[in-house]
Amino acid sequence: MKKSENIRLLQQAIACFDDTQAYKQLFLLFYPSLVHFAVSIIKSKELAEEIVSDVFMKIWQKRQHLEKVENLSFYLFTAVKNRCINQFNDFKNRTGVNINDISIEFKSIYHDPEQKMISAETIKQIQEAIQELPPRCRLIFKLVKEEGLKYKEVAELLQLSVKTVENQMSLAFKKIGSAINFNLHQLTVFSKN
Amino acid sequence: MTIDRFWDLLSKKNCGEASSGELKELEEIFLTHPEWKNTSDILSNLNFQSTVFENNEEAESAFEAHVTRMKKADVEFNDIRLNYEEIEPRRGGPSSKKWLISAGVLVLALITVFVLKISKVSSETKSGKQTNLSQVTTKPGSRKTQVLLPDGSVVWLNSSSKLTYDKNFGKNIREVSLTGEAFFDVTKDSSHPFIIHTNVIDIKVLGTAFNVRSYPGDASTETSLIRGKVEVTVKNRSNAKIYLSPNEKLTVLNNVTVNKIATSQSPVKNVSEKTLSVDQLNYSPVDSTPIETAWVDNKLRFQKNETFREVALKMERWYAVTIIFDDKEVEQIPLFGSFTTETIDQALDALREIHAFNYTKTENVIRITK
Repeated sequence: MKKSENIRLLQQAIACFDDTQAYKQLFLLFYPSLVHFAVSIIKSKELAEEIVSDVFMKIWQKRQHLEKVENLSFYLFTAVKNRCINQFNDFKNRTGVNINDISIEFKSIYHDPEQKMISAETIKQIQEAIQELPPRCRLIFKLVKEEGLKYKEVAELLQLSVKTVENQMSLAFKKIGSAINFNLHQLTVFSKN
Repeated sequence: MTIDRFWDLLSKKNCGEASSGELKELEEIFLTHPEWKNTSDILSNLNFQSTVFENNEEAESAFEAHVTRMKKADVEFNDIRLNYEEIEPRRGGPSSKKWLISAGVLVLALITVFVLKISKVSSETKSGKQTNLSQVTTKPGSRKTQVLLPDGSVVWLNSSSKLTYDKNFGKNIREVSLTGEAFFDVTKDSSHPFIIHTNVIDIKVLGTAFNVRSYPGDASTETSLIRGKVEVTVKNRSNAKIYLSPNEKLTVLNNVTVNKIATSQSPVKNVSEKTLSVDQLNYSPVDSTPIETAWVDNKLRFQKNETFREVALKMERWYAVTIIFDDKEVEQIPLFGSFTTETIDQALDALREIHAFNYTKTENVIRITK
């Protein structure tokens, strides 16, 4: 079943039947990405976890309205972002926070069940290429490719123009593409007109 | 054409953001640079997965920590796995809901009273001595009884229903028998298939949440799937195996001549329609939840093409009464609506606002007249 269909059904089960198992599944589905996203904004893993937990708490408290949410992915990321921004002001005033407590590892997993065209080596190259992307570019790439957000949604989420998102995605693909080309020993001459 | 333009186009295409003009442009580029097509194909074969937990333990502890936080914040969260008791019908919640009854055009809002006259929830679990069976039976009007099976699966039983399972449930297979109506939320366990036996069909669960309706007095047995996948085998049609996907409903005629409600002039139902059909679930236009499973949410709902006679059958179970029609015309009135916490009198009065009829009530027997 497609991921988006699955999410819709979980929403329904939670909203209509107070289904705690479905709620848990939804939580486990989104928690890691949301925490990573929050960390990229407020830099503290502990705070990020609290924020995501708060968002999910609200989801449970207002579960009767959950079914009406059209695009839950986007909704959750926006909710997390807003809380992070509100938190940021408080955060600056807090003392004793360990700034080194960050782990922003974008460990996307690529699986390619049907085609055997891609070797493990190539996949490794791709992963490295993504890791080497500038932080904002990497975040945008992740939100689009991993979380399935549209360009428009990413733009709104990060307060950027859609053009910026387009450019960053283009850049990301260019870097990944180059990595693949290098690995496959392809000599491609790009002409400039 | 610069190489940057190629990446602009390719990235958009890959993310589903390219316009048709841009797609055409890209195709033209591939004609002149076939080696780039190769790169493009590789990139389009990549599947990215969102961040996941390292392992199961990490996942479980993250959720547990979250639940602990919720409880500390006084947020009510009944983790079903710990709950062995029956739950009482929900009496409305923080949000007040309006109950609507409509005859297609007219919509009337009915304000409900929360104190109700439902028959006591009666469900007993008895263990048969010889057969080692556990049985849960619900009486008419009991509306919703929750049963927790040994494997953690949860079953909600509607009124006048019976669920039976063996003491050895879960050892090899997970098997139950059902008469009546139940909503199943089955825990995933591919090594132990979950099978439900009813009179007419057997259901093998490959997924998780679905509704089964198999009342002996009804003309048909229905299975509605909310989540996951089920395989239905129709008895006496030995090789017929039907698979349901979410939001589908299977209806199988019970093949008995049914006299649903005692009437003074009642024709025998003509069983000449299809014996089997798969349809989409009916969604209520009011709040878009499936009508088939509305009862789990403590609502009695009926659909657009149900006659008063068919509705009366549901009302009989819901309110634990007997309804007799003295007039054939009144039987055929089409009704559409839903009830939650009304008493039978309130419900009947509400229906009378849509279409005039009279009724008399003696103890638990209701006679409907013109």
